[in-house]
Parts: sequence; C-alpha cells; structure tokens
Amino acid sequence: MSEHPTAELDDVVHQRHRLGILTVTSEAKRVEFGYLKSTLDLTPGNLSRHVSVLEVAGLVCVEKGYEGKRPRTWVSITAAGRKALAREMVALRALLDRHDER
Amino acid sequence: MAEPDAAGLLDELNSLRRRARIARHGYWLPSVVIGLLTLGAIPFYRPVDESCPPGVRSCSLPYRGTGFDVPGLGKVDLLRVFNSGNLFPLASPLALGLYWVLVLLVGLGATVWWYRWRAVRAGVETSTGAYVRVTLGGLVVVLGIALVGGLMTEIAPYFHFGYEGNLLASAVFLALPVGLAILSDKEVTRTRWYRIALIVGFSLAVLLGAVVVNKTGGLMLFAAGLLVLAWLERSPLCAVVALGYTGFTLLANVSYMGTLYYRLGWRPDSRLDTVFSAKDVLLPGAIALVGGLVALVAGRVRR
Repeated sequence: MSEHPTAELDDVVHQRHRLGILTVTSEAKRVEFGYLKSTLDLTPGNLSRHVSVLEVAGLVCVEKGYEGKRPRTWVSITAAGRKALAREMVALRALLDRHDER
Repeated sequence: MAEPDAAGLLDELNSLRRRARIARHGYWLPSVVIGLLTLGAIPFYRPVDESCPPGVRSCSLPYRGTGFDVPGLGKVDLLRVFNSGNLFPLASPLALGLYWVLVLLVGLGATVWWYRWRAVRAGVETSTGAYVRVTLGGLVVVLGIALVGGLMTEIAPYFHFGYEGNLLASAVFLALPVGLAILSDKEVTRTRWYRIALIVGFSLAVLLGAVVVNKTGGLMLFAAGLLVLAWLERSPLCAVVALGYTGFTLLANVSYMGTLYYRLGWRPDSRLDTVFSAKDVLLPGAIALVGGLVALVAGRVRR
C-alpha cells in the first residue's frame, strides 16, 4: 500500500507563511526583511518567528547589516532549503494528483 | 491536509514566485546600456582613406594591424577578435579594439552596480555572479585566442567549415561559456566533473574562437552576457532580446549582414561608408536598445 502524500510533508516547511518565505527567497539571491513583510502581509514579530524557525533548521541564512545608517536584514535560501522546498512542492502536487484521480 | 487546500496553497505559492520574479526584474538598464555601447562603436569603424596623395597615381595603403611578433608563438594580436576581418580596412583598428575592451568592462561594472542599487531599493536581489563570470571568462578566452591564433595561422585553413559549419561552430563557441556560467551558480561547481568541464570548455572555446571568430568578439561577449542575464531574470522579453542580439551576432560573424541589408533594400552611398562599415553592430545594438526601452515601459505600465 503506497504511503499517503501527506507523509512526505515536513512540519518545519509545511506552514503557509514559512512556505511563502522559502518560495520568495528561492526566486532571488537574497530578499530584504521589509520586502518579505509586505509581500507576505505579516507583522515584523510574526515574520521574525518564522524566519528563526527556518534559520535554526538550516533552510535560510540571515545577514544583518546597514545601508548607510539604516539597518537592513537580508534573508537567503540555503541549498538545504531549496531541496526541502522542492520536496514539499512534489508532495503537494502528489496530493493534488491523488485528488484528481478520484 | 485536504487536497483543495493543496491546490489553493500551490496557487498562492506560484503567485508569490511570479511577484518576486517581477519585483527583481532589472534587465532594462543593462540592455539599454549594451545597446548604446554597441552602437557607440560605429565611429570606430571609419574606413581608411584609400585615396593617394595629390599627384601620385598609385600607392599602397599602409597596413595598420594590432598584432606583434612573439618568438615561439608567431603573430600575437590581442585585439584580433575585435577588429580583424572587416569588409573595409579600418582607419584605426587599435582604437576599435581598445573601445570594445573598455566598453565590455564598463558594461560589466554598470550592470553589477545597477543590480546592487536596485536590490537596496526593491528589497530583492538578482545574483550577478554568473554574468560577471561569463564576461571575465570571455575576456580570458579572448586572451587565449590571441596566444593560440598565431600558432594556428598555419593550420587554420584546414579547418574551413563552410558557411553553415562556421555558423554552427560560432554558436558552439558562444554556448560553451554561457552554459558553464549558468552552471557556476549551482551546487555542481563543487564536483570534479565541473572542473573538468571548465578546462575542456575553455580549451575548446579558445580553439574554436581562433578558427571561426573574427571582428565580432565584442558582440559575442555582450551576447553571452545577455543570454546569461536572460537566464538569471527568467524573463521571456529578456530572452527575446538576448536571442535576437545573438542571432545577428552569429550572422555578422559569418559576414552575412551585407547580404541581409541588400535583401532588405539598403544600398548606402559613399556618404554612409562608416555606417556601412559598422553594419555588423547596427541590428544587435538596435535590438538591445529597443528591447531595453520596451522592458522599461512595460515595467512602468505593470506598476
């Protein structure tokens, strides 16, 4: 009996906002915190929490710096993050295919 | 997780992906700059004045090459891919060659600066590593061609591929650095196979370049940069501009542009000698310039 596609979902990645963070960062070299906040419509605290979870899991890197006097926080996806995102997308598509087969 | 939730989530993620891609699109400026720098080469294609001094019936034109003899290597010409093989002898092939080297470096610097400046404003950064590598790698290939070119003068006639063969060989010459540059952003660069591919690719590009590339070195390097940029940007319009620039560059390398203009009905008189002498750069430059401006307007309209 084949495993249900939901078994492939990773709890760290499989959260709507964290998936959003990984998806956006996978499209660029790095993404600024403010851009993520406005694109994903999250409060700074909420976004920080999700980014921290991903950083601890080794799926994103966080760089803090300054542009002139203005502090900037940049988030970039790691190779492990790309693989985790790819696995998640495969699992989600498998779920959809299963639904379409019924 | 319910399957309809999965569908909604996938749609949302695809939408986020498209928005991020559009937000980081910045190729309009490099395309405009490459177009202007390409067209800026026109004055340097001024043909040499073939008229003899007053009172002299016949005279020979002074040869103005940029090569020099190196013991053991034969004639080395660092600028030959930029200035040799033109229809008319040029008034200053040295100036043309130096112009191309300078604008390639200026174009590189301007593009990297632009993407970094834009990243700070937009909050999303496009990687320019592959673009830098293909341009600098291309200049190293040009140096290799210059060093090998003298040695290959004796055997080059045996590598005459014919018109279609030269076109294909030119395309392969261009595809090698572009392919390696695109791979240079991936994890595969840590493997031994990539290092081997890099050495083989560089060697093949130098050998091919020594045989098939003449006069279009600057166009080739800009074309490689545009192709890599189209890949980095994942933009259909950027890809159209890059492919258009590349297509005309390849035709120019096999000296087809004169035939093309003739078929399009352009038969310039002697007042346009310099412009006609620069015929190879006209269409590539125009495509890059117009494509960049279209991208700028499309970006403004989308916002």
